[in-house]
Amino acid sequence: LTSHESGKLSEALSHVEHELAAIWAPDEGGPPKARVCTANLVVVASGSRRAGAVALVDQLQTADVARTFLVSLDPKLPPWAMSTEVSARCQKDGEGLLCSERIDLSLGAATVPRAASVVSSLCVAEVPTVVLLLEAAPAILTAALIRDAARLVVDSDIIGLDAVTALARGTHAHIVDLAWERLLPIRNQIAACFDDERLRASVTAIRKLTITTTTTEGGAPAPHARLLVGWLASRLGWRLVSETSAFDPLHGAIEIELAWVLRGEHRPGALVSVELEALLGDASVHLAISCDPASGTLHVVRSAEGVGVETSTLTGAPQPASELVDRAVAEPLRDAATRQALFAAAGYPPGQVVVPHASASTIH
Amino acid sequence: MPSTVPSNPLREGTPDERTAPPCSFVVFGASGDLTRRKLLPALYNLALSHALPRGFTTLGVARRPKTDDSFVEEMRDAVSKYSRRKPLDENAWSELSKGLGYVQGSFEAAGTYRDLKARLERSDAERATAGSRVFYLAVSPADVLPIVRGLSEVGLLPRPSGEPNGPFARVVIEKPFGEDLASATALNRELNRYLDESQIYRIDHYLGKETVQNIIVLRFGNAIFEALWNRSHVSHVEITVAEDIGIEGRGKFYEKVGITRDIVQNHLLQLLTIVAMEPPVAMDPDAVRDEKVKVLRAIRRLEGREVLTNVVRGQYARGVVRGDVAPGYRQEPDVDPESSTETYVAMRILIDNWRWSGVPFYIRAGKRMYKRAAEVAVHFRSPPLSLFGGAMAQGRGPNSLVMRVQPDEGIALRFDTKVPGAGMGMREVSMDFRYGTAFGPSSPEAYERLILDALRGDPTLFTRSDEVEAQWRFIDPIVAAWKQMDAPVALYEAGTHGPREADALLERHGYHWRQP
Repeated sequence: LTSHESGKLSEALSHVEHELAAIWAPDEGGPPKARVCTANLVVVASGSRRAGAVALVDQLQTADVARTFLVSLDPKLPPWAMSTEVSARCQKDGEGLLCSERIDLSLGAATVPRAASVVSSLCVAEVPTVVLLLEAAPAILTAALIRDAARLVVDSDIIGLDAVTALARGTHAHIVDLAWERLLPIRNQIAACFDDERLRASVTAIRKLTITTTTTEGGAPAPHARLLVGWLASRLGWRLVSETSAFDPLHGAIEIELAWVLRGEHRPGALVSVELEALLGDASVHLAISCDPASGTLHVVRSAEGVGVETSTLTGAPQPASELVDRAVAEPLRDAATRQALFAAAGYPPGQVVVPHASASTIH
Repeated sequence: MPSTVPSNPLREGTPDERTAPPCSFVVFGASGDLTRRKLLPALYNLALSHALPRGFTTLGVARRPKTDDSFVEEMRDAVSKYSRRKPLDENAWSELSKGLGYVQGSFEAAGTYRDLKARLERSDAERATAGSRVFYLAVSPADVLPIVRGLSEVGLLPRPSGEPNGPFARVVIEKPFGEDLASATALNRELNRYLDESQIYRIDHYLGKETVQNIIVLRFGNAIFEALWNRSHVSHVEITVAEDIGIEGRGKFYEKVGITRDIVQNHLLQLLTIVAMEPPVAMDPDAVRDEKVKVLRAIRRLEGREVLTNVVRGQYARGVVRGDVAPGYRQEPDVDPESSTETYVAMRILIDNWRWSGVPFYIRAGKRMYKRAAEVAVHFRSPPLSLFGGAMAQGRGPNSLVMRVQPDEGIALRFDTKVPGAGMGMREVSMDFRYGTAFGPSSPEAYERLILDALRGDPTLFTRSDEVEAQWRFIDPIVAAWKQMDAPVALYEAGTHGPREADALLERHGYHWRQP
């Protein structure tokens, strides 16, 4: 690991390049080294959250094989200074070592507009660039970094759903919203209700949707509730009419109820239950999913005429951010529905004033 | 008939959740090497990857007396030693070990199955395993039927109910599956008395290897290779499974089996089918296996004298492997000093179908070879016109695509390039993709993938009954011809590339074996 601080960015850049070359220089008598790199992973965090970001990047480096950049603002640095650290993490592979590099860039305030230029010149060619925004960053930095990104990983639980959709509208990069990923077990259960061919047609005949969350600051709809409504609306062709109703061109009105329970020890806006009712002809389907925000356990009850009642309990711990990010970086892009769901969610409730915010809580 | 039910719109864009449903996993042969070296480490790694449900229960069944506690301790040691991910993660192990238990008993005794049933029902009640079970038979072939019968008699193998999320009972059976066509057919018939075919998972761990699955992705996930993957462009194909170890104290077993039945009948023929099959209409179990069976049916059978000209069997003699002197096969314990059992086999196989007519597939498998290597090499035809012929062409070979299954997993594409300088000299170079450098050194083990597939009810990577029978249908006449004609066994020095007769098998047609 080496560190360097410079007032001239090109000097700092040359230093980083020199250090990278030194990592790969043949080590006489030492084991041969090979670079492992399937992506450039650019993690953006503010100086105040740098410690948490460093811990997250440390975890990511144990699983992800990427050239990793940790870009953070450091108010203590002189405005035109940039501090750099270059390191490599190596694992034994037979007789040799497989190594992936990490470059930490701490930016003085005035260097922010140029940071993307530094990062892009250090990115490995022929592999995708993934940008992970741990919180809202200066727009000038974000816009430049995501310009060439293949994937943008964000967390609407932290930077807000509206900020995420604003970013999504400004880039062609694939969006991975970690809040959306956390909803996957519940989305799976809702989808699974209609996997049964006997109930398949009922999916288009949902009449009522009730989502209960813990209370939120100011009583605004919880991001997870908005995401679920947005997902169902985008997949099933609903037009969102108001906070309490949607319209399906084939089957008419859908009632939406957002309910609350006191937060207690849980975080604001945590999902507590989802219920939906579908009615196709005389056949009704009722699905109730209750969630324990602490343990991640889901209790699912599905009842349908002619099919009977099925109950199941799905246990599972909440996934840490490092695992979700790891999946976002390493796994193939399959979730084409994300963007449509995000945009639909951003429009729910209709007519709300969109104020992107960065009310960051802890990374969880 | 195509389904008229519309697809589920809520599934669009939802990633495939590769987690197992609540269930119990029962290992028969829990005292064996496979359980310690592969099965428990695989389960632990699945737990570490959050692929197992909470409440997951693992019960070992074997004859040796053990308590739950001693079994847990033994398995902890095994996982610590053999897991690909180290050191042991105490949280993951603690979660897995809560559901770990042991049932002692003989596989022939009815009491064993009654005890097992009681333990499983307790697990259903206490750990919510939902009445679903996967029975893994890590036992000798002779124990398979008694175990299936015993499980069936106590009601542990109900036929599938047809309920999409209903409880299930599946049986995973290790190779060898039969010792010839007659015994494999009889075993299939007997198993079908107790089980539906959909409940039988015949495991060939080669299919769980990432590199083997990647052959399917390489072929059908890319447009550039498949266009060349036929008789117009491919001159010949080589498939090699070489080991540097000998029979490792399994003399009795090897004397009965030989490498053809031990490795060729399953691993090599599976590799061949994956290389040669037509694109399946979908990545579903029957679509993939249908295509593999079609290849097996199209393989030209070798009978009588054809076996002598197209198959070479060999046996290792004393030699030096990796610097150490290794005994000859006939000097190994429990081996007949005049044994004609083969430890090496090479074959020239033709596939009589539209795609591969006239393209030879050379396959070889050997023990005590100079190194361990498994690979598939597809050799392409030479250009129609040699623009750079004469002296410039010396030493060049055709283009080839080499898929390294193990070790040094990866893919290399070999081609000619101009040597820098004033002339037009050419040299063969390689574009090399290595799994290790692209994805890191720790890929999932084959058993992780296959156990998870069995838990999830996906038999795509397991061998179907007609597939096994088709494999034996090809192998049986070869073994019979060797016996009838007292075919020679070519000796080769341990630590070499195999017998000279195997080189001649290719040289007759103008080819040479690759040296992996």
